[in-house]
Amino acid sequence: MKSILPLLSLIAFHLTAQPLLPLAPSPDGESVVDIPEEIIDKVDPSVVSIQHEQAGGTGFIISEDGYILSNGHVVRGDDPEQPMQPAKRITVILHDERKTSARVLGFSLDPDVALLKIDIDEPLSPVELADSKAAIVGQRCFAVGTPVGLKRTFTSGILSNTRRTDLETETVVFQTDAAINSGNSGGPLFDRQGRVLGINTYASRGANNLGFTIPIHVAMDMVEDLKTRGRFVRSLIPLYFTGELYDELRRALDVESGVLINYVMEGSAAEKMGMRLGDILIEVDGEPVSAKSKAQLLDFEWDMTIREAGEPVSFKVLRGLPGNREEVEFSGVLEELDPFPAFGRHLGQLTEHRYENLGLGIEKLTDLHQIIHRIPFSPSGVFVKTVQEGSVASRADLEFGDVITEINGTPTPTVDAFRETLDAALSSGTPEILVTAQRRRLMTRTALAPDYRLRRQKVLLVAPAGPDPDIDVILRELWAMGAEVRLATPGGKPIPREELAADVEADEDLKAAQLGKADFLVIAGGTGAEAFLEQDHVLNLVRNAMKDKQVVLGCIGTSALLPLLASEEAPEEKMTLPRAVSGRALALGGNYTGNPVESDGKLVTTTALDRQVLRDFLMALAAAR
Amino acid sequence: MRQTVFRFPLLLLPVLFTGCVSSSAWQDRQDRLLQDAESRAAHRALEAAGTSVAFFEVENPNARRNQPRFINFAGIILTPDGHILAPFTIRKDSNTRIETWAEQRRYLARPVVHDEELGMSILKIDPDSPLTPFDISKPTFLPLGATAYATITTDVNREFEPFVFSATSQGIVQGRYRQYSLSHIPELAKGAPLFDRLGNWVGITSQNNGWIAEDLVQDLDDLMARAVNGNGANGEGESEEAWFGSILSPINGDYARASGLPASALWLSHVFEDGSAYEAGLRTGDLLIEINDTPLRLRGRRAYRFFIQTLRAREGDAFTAKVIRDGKELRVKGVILERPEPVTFRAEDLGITVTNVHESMAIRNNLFTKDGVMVSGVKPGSPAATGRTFGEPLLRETDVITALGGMPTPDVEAFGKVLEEIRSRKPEILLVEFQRGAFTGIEALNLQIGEENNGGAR
Repeated sequence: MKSILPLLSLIAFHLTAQPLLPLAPSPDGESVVDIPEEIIDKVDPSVVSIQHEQAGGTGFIISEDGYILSNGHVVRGDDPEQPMQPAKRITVILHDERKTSARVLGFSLDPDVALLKIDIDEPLSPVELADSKAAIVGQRCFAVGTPVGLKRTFTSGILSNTRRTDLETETVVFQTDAAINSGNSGGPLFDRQGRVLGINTYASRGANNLGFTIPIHVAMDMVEDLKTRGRFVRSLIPLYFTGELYDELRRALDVESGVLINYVMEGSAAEKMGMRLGDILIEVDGEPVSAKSKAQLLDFEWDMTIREAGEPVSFKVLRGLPGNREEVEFSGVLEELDPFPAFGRHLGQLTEHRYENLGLGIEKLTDLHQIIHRIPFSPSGVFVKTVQEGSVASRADLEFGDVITEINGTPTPTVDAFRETLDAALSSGTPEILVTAQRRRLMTRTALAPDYRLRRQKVLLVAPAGPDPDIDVILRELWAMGAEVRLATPGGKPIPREELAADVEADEDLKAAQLGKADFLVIAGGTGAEAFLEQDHVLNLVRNAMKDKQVVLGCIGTSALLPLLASEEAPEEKMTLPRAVSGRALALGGNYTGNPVESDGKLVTTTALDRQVLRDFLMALAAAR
Repeated sequence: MRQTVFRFPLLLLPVLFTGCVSSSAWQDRQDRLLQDAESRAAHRALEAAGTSVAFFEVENPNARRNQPRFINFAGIILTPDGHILAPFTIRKDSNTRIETWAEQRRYLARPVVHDEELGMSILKIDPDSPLTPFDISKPTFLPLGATAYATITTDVNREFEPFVFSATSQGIVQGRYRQYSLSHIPELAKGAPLFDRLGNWVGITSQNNGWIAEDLVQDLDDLMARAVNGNGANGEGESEEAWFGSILSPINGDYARASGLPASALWLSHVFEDGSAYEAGLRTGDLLIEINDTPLRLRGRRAYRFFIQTLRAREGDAFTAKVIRDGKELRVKGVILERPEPVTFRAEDLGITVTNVHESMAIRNNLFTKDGVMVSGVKPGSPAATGRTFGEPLLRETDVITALGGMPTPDVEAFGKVLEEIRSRKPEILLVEFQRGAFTGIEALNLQIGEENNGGAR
């Protein structure tokens, strides 16, 4: 933002200090405008601004019924554990200033494309698409967007390069000298006829007029996946990599064309199918293939990537060096690729499982981890993604890139096994949890010694029985704090857990639950929690907790209405809850603040907007005791 | 000299007088006795130091505006011909100006040898007449709560001549070179010898504390031997050649507690089969708890430094080690072997230097194959360095080349032979197969680019 502020003040100065002169046609009668008015009128209604709780950007309408394209990074939330979680409250502002909330149907971070949907009664004005495969260097183009928040900004230039491959992107991208700044992201780059060439995505910092645009055909290749599956699904036969046959390679290998196979993972489907390192791929499904440059290679790979998983595919390769060469044919079936782990600029697509109280985050170990992070021997374990400084995990000397293979002597080949073993150790309050990890080629043994700041504290956790990702975080963190958790659910039903096979068994039926000697009463929110507001046994529990000055009452989301409903006179303590029910809270006399977490005396409440807020709530809860 | 000595301690020990407020005769007597005892102790310290304490004034040409341009330290004279121990490290090739007062004469000192671990150096002056060396062969330990006396014989302005101060040992700061935590030390005294009440040498004054004499003796002897024998390279040459042959990782404190193991210990995370540790019978997975009959002290990385400083490995030295294996203690003896010389080969026409892949290299660089030669250098502008994009060389350091022109290159010898054969054909392009981390790669080097006359085709 720093660099933006001076720019804004400069504009303000010019607006106030200098008289604005009307545009006059040039003496020779030629148009003074570079983009004809009818083109402006054509594109203007299709470009939208996008805003949400984190940031904003630009987008453009691609259908009359309200589908909008933008960048993945424009709509992404900021949950570090779930990079593919969109922002929570997305608003689209149309060209005529109408605001409407939008849903993210799906997005990808590479290629950086998002598909949104708005629901407006009247037909919208979609953009016209250009044939971006036919784009040529030097052709005039212009960008429309919201750079630094300045809506409806038109900037123009030419296509400086149509085959840019040096940005470590999955496809070729366009380069343009039309000014692209922060806030242009997700906006369209038009050709002179007002047809979309691509989605403006990156600008080079520290350089002048180096903007980059994802070709529109790439984005359109992804729309169906984003619409129907919520994410972009790549297909491949795992796992081989290809390289382009550049001039020297063609000469050394004595071939005219083809694609080089420069990696085949041992034991993978590709190897089993018959593919070998050094093969020169010359035909796919009977069609000749060739990549003499990086750009051609990216095009070739993209065409494979966007095919459907399950499709059969046949290959013909040249094998052996010149003079001793044979043609070999084999075939296989395209598979859905694993979600990508984070690498380089790529934020990855895997869900991280973080234990805030341990400062430890892990994720599924994939084949790509092994290649990217040079993990030898394919150890059977989980990948350490986060070790927070000064945390229990960092005291255990764990490091990013370690692979945890055992907890307390029990193998942890999957996230499921890891979570189950660790949760069991935490919930039993084990002072030191032994950890075996693989660090590159060496095995390391260490121990997690949790702080257990809620050691011997009793928590009665009331939760609806529906599937709720929050309950997973709440339990995980309460256990990691050493609390003795008693879980009460309607009918004593178990709660399904996020990405885990095993449910959490309830300790008791909510109807029969008593506060007993609990130090904390925590009422979860989420699906089904609204019913609590009308249940006498829940209101009684809350009432009893409020009477007992020793008990800390924590209410998550909508449940924060309970203290207001349970007492005749609204409690004076400050409280917060989701904006949707804030009106009701105010009507009931609640001291509503709207902060993400509010802790006042023995009452702790939260909007539970995201995991981080939920964690802040749990920290505040522990501190309130 | 004697008179000054006697007068000065009384001035510098005001603490002795603060107790003299009682009017009772008994109290007076007690105070006098105490005063006498302190005076005698200070006197003994000065006598013990004699004229063997030198004084340095070191110029700091990089001093900022509010930093002093000259820094003063005390030094201990070690030989009659002018070797002096200095409490700071200074490289032999330094041209810092160091003025030195020894036996009331001024000299310029030159650095001879230093030791980074110890944090000390030996400087040399050329005295007009033989100096009186200090005897560092008989260290004594200063118990907790006892008083230490430090002495310097002069300072640069000759305001103090001599100078004694007393301080109480309040605790021990752990480390390979442990220190007394002393109650108060003037900066001026850094480097001065410390004595106990009876005039026994107990340590050397450090920045804020005092090095414990017992921990220094052996290493000061070594440093002195290096100074006198003219090997002033800070032992770097020795440690490079000496080869314990293992990867050591400190035990985690919580793990140690949970498993009932010592908290100051090092895992032998990997023991190389051609190393000294393996020869002595140590194996991967052993937990090292003692080296050269000294139990490891400190935790984490500092335990590792302690190990290095205690072992002070030199080729041919004997060592002992105690480890825990399968819950039982095991003591082994061994000899430090020479570090295996890496076999390298420079292929000027390709622009690379390659090295045989030793197991230690494979582990350090996390190599995925040993069946090749590791690229240890890539020459900028050469065929190997010139890729399709600027800044992206075709070959990189730690790539393992497995074949040239389709012929395997399992080691440097084979690599040389294959390359020789290829050169005889004078090809324009050379096909290179390699392993980069978990990844394999195939590149074609254009031998016609790079420096003049380096290409096979020209």
